[in-house]
Amino acid sequence: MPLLDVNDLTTYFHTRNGVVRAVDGVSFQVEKGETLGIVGESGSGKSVTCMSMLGLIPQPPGRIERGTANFDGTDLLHCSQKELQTIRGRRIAMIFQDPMTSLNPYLRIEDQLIEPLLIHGLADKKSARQQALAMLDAVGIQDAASRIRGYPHEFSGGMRQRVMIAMALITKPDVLIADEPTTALDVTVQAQILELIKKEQQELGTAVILITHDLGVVSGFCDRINVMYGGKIVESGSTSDIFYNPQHPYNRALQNSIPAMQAKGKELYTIPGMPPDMSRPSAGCSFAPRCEHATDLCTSEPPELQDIGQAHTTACLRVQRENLKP
Amino acid sequence: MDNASVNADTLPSPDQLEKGQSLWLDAWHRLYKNKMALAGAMFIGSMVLLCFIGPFFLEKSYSDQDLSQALKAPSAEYWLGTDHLGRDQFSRILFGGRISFLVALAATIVSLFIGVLYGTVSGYLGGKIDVLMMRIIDTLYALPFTIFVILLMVFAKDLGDSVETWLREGLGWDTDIALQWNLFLLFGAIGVVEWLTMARIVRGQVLNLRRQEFIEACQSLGLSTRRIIVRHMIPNVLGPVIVYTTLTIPAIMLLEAFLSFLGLGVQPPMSSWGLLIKDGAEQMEESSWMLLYPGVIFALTLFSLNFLGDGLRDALDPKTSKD
Repeated sequence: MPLLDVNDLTTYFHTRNGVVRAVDGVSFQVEKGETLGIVGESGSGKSVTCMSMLGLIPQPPGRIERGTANFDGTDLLHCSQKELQTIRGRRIAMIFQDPMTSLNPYLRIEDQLIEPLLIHGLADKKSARQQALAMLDAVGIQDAASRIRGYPHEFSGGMRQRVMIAMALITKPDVLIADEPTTALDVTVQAQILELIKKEQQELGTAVILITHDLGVVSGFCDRINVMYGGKIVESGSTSDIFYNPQHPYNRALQNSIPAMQAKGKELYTIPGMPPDMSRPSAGCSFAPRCEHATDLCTSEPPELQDIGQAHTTACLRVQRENLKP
Repeated sequence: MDNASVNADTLPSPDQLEKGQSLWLDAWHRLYKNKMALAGAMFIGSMVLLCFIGPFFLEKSYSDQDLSQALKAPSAEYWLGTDHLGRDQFSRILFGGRISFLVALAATIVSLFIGVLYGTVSGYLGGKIDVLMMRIIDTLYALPFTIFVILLMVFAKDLGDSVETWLREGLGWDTDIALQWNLFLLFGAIGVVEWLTMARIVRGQVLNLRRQEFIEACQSLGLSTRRIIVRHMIPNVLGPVIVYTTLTIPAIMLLEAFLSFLGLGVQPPMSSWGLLIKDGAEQMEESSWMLLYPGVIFALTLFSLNFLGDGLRDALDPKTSKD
């Protein structure tokens, strides 16, 4: 049985301008200790998927319409707030995008680090402090013993993200959700942070869900990848399948738009058109208006994810009917 | 030159490193550098001390009349002169300051209490409750505030008299509560109208904070709502609240003076700065000192409070941070 089994997760936002279908029937599994990447452009529903699982969607306007998310016997979408609180932070932890604003500016690093241990009753204050110090040292903060008494503004962005990682991992969670953990950091620090997450993951046996729009980040990091577009998973498979055997035209277009893959001096490839308006659902495939291979079938019939290889699924009708070869 | 020794000199000592500087300490350092604010704080501090402790050391009480000494100019005996009933002006100014500060303090506490609570609840709950609570504030804002206070004072004055008769006749108490009644009313009346802006400011801050990533991070760590509010929200709204409070105090003092000037606030023989200025204005042609000294002291106090408030705003607003 997978550690986390998300089935048909659907989250809509009921706004004045209509219903925004941010996440529309997403299903995936996470096994113990594995790394799952969720990639997609801005607004494709990556973050909302994970926020929904932890009950962090502002309600209203957000609403989880249907679906289940089974985590170790508990349905995260239908359990009480109390149950959720005992899981959040203790068994599923989260790292956010912007390390500059995700720490409370008025509390010492130490007080924020020990908070998860204290509220979940995992340690008394004294041993929590020792664990916090060990954790801070483990995430590579030099001179941790003196820095632990400092305040967030005395830390650089990369160091704050390290603190956030320490805070998320201090309870030794089963799942770590990293929501674009490197987006706000500069390139050299990005690699360090990813390496750090990898290292801690191997030590603690934590499963990691990495949300990102950076294909370079997921390629060297993840076991499996879900590609999301317009609130749906359009292709899912092992990292090598996604990169070396892309099937869905959106995924192919994504691979083609990595700047490093293109010849120098040539104009960079971009996907034509704009991301879909999520408040106006299309009858067929949401990528069809931008797809160079789209046919009448694509705009009229909604595609479903189907196996096209070993643990490799795609939601393109033409690929499924094998009349579209890469 | 020896490199190692240079480094040892410029590096902070381990003690300094270990402590870490909180934003509060940072703000204090910025405030400390602001000479005007510091001077203001010192003036207010000494004024408060003088007003609350000073009268104990004076021979003449604020209410001792000596008609033979009426309207005397400042002299060695009467440092700041006497008023039209021969009461010592110096003593009256100190006692009046006491009342003015008390009114300001009490009304501020009332407004702080209602405002912070109301604003936090409104901002945190959000949705329809927030809309309703804010419309109530809008409605109260729309009331002509001065008339509201005047009406309250007029009606409640009768109430004070009847409470006194009731206490005297019904319970046989020997009390003069009607005399202080006005003062309590003044605390209440001003506080009740001054909380509106505070509630709005706090609500705005809370709305802003609710969407901050660290609040989301707190939620994702499994913290309870109460813990989030108490430990993470309130310290973060405190800055603007402190600033607004220091700016409310002079506004309330001015209001008290204004009401006393109109004869609606503190009643003689008690004294307040507003009352002294009113008495002084009546005598200003012959005895200018009666207007001059309370006026100057009042103005200086208001200036100081405003400078302190400005200084605090600069110190507590991280955006103006120079380092």
